[in-house]
Amino acid sequence: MKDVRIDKWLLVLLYTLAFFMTIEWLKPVEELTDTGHIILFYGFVGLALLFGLLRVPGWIGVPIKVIYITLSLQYVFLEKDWLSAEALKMTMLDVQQNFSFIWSGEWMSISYMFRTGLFFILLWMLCYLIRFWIEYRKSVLLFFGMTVIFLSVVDTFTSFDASFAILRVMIIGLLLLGLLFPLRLSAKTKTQLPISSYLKVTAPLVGLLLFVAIVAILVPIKEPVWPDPVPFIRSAAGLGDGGNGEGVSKVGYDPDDTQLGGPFKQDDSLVFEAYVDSRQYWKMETKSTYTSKGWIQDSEELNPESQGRFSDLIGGQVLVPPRERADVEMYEPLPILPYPYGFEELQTTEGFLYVQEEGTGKLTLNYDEPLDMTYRTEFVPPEYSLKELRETDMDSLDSMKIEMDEYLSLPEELPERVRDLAEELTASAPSVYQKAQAIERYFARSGFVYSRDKVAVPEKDEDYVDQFLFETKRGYCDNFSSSMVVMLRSVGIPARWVKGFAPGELKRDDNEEKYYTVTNNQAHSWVEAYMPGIGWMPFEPTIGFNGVSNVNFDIEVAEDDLKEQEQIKRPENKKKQEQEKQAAKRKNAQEPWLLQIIPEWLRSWTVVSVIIGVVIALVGIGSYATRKKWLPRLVVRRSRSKSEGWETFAIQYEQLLKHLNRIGVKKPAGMTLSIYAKEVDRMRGDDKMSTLTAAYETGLYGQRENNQNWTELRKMWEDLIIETTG
Amino acid sequence: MLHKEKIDAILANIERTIVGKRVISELSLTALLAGGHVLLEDVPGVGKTVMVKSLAASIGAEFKRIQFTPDLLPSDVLGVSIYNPQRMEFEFRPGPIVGNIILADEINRTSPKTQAALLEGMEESSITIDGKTLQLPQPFFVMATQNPIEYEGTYPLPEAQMDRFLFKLKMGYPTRDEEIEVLARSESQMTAELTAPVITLDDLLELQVLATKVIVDVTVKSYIVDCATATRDHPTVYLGVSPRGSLGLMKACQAYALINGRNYVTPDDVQYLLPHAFSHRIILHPDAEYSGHSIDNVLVDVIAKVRVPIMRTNAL
Repeated sequence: MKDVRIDKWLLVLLYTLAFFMTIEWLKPVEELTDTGHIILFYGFVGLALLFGLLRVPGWIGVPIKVIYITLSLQYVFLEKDWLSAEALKMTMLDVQQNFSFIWSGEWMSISYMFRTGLFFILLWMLCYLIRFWIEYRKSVLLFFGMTVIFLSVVDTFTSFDASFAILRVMIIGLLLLGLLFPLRLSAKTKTQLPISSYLKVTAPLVGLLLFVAIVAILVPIKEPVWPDPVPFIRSAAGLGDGGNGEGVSKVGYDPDDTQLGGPFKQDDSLVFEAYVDSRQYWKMETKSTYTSKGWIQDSEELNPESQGRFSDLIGGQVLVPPRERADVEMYEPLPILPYPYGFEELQTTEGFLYVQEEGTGKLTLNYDEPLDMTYRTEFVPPEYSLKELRETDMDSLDSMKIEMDEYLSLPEELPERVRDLAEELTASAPSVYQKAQAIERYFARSGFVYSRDKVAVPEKDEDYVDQFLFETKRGYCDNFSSSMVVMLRSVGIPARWVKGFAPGELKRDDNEEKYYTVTNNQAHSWVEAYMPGIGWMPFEPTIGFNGVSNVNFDIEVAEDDLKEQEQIKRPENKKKQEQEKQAAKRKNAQEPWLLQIIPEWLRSWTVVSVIIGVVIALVGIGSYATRKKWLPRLVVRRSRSKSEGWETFAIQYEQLLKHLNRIGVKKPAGMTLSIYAKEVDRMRGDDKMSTLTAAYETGLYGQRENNQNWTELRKMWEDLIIETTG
Repeated sequence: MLHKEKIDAILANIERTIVGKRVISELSLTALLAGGHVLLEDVPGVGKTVMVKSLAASIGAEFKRIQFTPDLLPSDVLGVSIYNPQRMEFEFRPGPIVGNIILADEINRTSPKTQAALLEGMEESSITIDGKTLQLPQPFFVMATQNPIEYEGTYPLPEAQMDRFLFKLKMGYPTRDEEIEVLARSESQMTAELTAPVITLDDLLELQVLATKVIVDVTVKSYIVDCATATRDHPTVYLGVSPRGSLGLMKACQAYALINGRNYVTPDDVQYLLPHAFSHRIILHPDAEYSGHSIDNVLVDVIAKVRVPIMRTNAL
C-alpha cells in the first residue's frame, strides 16, 4: 500500500488530530489521580508523534526519547538537582532496584518513578500504534471507539465530567475517520487522489461535522429515560455506601446539610416498610438556620416531657379511635427514627429509652448506634380548619417576633431580589395561610423543573436559594423547600425546614394488607410554617409531590371557601390583565408602528423561528412539487446568457431529457435516444425532438462538436421546452 | 457522398436480381465491409445463392461455391499439390476456397475435419498446404448455409467455430407479393451472374478501410461491452458472448454506420445488429430452454435492460 502517498500537509493535520485525541486520555488521568506535571506527558506524546511524522530514524529518535523520559523523571521526582550526575546515578539505581522487584514479584514495592517511566513507555507504544493506524491501516476506528468507551466509563464511575470531552472526541474521531476513508479507498484501488479532489470530497464532511457539533451544543438535552445505572451497579457490587463522602451529591437521608446542591443520586435500596392505612409524610427532624449554602441546626435542650420509654406492649393493644397506627420495619439503620405527623406514642418489643427534641422534633434513642428494628407509632393525623387558617393574620405574628426569632433569621447576604419576589407573591394574600399558599404554589406555575441531576452547586459568592429561584430553576426537594422557607421568612412568617421521607410506594402483602415501601429515593424535605393560633403546619412546595396528606379541610367551610376563593381570584386576574395592558401600551408607545402590529405572542423567538421554519418548508415543498412549471422557464432564461456551442447545447439537451422525464414522458433505460425522439415527436406531431437528438447524437457519439447551427437548435430547444411546459 | 452512393448502388444492384430481402442484403454487405462472414440458417430454395451471386457480381468479385457433402475432404476445399512430370516438381492446384466470395452450402453436412479446414481459412484469411502458407485474395467473404440442425445426418458446428461467423442470419420466406414478383421476374430476368459490377474490388477494399475508421465513442464501446456482459450474467444463459463477439459487434456497427452514411456509431446500430451478432454465440441452460426461454427472448431482455448511454462521460 506504500505506493500511494499521503500529502504531507494532510499528514500533519491527521497527526495533530490524533494528538488531540490522545490528550483526551491524559486529561482524566490528571484530574482523577495525583499526577502532576501532566504537561510533560503531553510533550512526550507530541514529540513521539512529531518524530513519526518527520520519519526520524530510530537511531536518532529512540535516544532522544529515552533522554526525554530520563530527564522528565528526574525533574519530577528529584526536583532540585535534576540535571546533575547524581540524579542520573539515582535514576539508574532506581531502575535496577525496580527490575529486581519485578523479578521477585514484589509489585507493591515498585517506586513511583519507575511506574511513571513505564507510563511513558506505554505512551510511546501508543504513538507507534497511532502511526500504524493512520498510515498503514488508514482507520482509527479502534482507537476512536476505545477513547469513547474510556471516557464514558470515566464519566460514569468517577467525578470526572467528560461531557465536553466526549463532544471533542466525537468531532475529532469522526473527522479522522472521514479524512482517512478516501485515503483508504485510494490505497485499495492504488490510485493517487489529487489533493484538490480530496478537499472537494472531505469539505462537506467538515461542514456537516461543524453543523452537528453546533447543534449538539445548542439544543437542549432531554433527561435520560433510563435511571442512572451507577447506584445499582455499585449496590450490586457491594459498594453501596451511605454516600456522604462525595462532596456535593446526595444519596438517601444524609444528616449533613451544610452544603446543598449537586445531583441527588438514585438509590432504590429499601430503608423501611410501614404498615399504615394512609399516606404519611415521615418526619425525622427540622432545621432552622439557613447559611445561604445549606442548613445547620444548633444543638438543643432535650424536652423532658416527650422523653419516654418504649413500652413493650406491642400487639394486642386496643386503638382509641382518633389515633392511627403505623408499624415501621427498618431495613437500613437510621440515626433518627421517622414518624408520621401527629405523633403520640412509640412502642417496640424491646424497651429502650427514647428522646424527642422539642424544636427539631428529632426522635432518637438513648443508644449510641443506629438501630435496625421494628417499632409501632401511634399518632393522631392533624386536621386544620380552613376557616381558622383564613383568619390567621400577620399582626398576631408581630407579638411573637422574639420568640420566633430563630425561625425568622436569614443570612445578611441574602440577595434583595429574593425578598422582592416573596413580597410580590404574597402582596395580595390577606392571611398568613394564604401567603404561605401563594409561595407554595408559585413553583408549579413558573417554569421550574424537577430534576435530580444536573443541579447546580452555588459558588462561593452565590446563594443557594437565589441561584435556584432566578438562575437555574431546576432542582429537587431541597431546592424547593429551602426556597420556600427563605421566602416565608423574608415576608415575616416563621418557617423551618423539615427532613424525612416521602410516603413511599403503596404495596399489599400476602394478606392484602396495605403497606408502604420507602427507599433512599424517597428521602425528602419540605416546609413547616407557623400559623398563629394553630401551630406548625407542613407545606409541600416541590413540584411533582402532591402535598402533605394530613392537611384537611372541614368540608362545610371548604365549599364556601371555594367560591370565596374564586371571587378573590377574579379581581386579581382583572387587575393583572389591566396591568399587563398598561404595560403593553407603555411598550407600544416606544416602539415603531411596524412592531406594534405584531401581536405580543408572535414576538417570542420560538414562535418566530417555528413560523419561519414552516414557511421555508412549505415554500420548499411547494416549489419542488411545481418544479415542472417553473424550472424549465428558469432553465431557458439562464441558458440565453450562455455562449453558443456544443457544451451549452449538451447541457441544454440533457436538461430537456430531465424535463421530459419530469412531465411524464419517461425513457426506458434500454431505449435509444433516436427511438425516444421519434416517440416524443409522434406524440407532439412535429420533428423538433428528432432534429435536436440527431444534433446531440452527432456530438455525443460522433465526437463532432462543431459546425452545427447552434442558434437554430437553441430556438428549437426553447420552443420544445416552453411548449411542453404547458 | 461518394461512398454512400457506391453502397447504395450495390444494394440497388442486388435488388434488381432478388426480390425483397433488402435487410438480408444490407446485413450481408455489412458483414462484407466489416471483414466478417455470415452463417445463413434456413431451408433451401429461399434465394440464398442468388443473393450471394448478385452480391459478388455487383462488386466484380470472383464467386466460388462449395457444396458440402459427407465425403468431402479438406483437400477438396483447400486445393492439392500435384506432381508435374514435365517440370519435375509438385504444383499447387488451389481449391474452391481461393476466391473472393464463397458460398459454402450446407456446411453442417460435411465432416468436422473439412469444416475445420474452411473455418481456419475464414479466420486467418490464409490457408496452409504442405507446409506452405497461401494468402487468400482480398476481400474474402464466406457465406455458409446450414440446414436447421435437427435434421438427420449432420455434423453440428461446434461452439468455437460458430463464434467465427460475424452474423447468423435467417432469410425467411418471401411475402406473398414478393413471391408473385419472383415468379413474374423468372420469365425475363437476367441471371445473377450477368449483373454488371457497379464498383471495383479496389473500391470495396477502400470501403473496408473506411469502415474501420468510423468513430466509436467510448460511451458506445462501453454500451457494447455492457450488453456482452449482460448476456454472460443473464440467469438463463449457460455460455455468454465472448470478447470476440463484442469486437465483431463493434466492427459490424462501424460497417453498418458506413452503409447508413454516418461516420459514427450510435446505440441504435448496436441494438439493431446485436441479435444477429450475438444469437449464435449464446448457449442457454437446458432448464431454461425447457421452461420456454429462447435466445431471442434473452437478447430482447438484454437490450431492454442495459442502460443506453445518453450523457457525456465527463458530465456528472
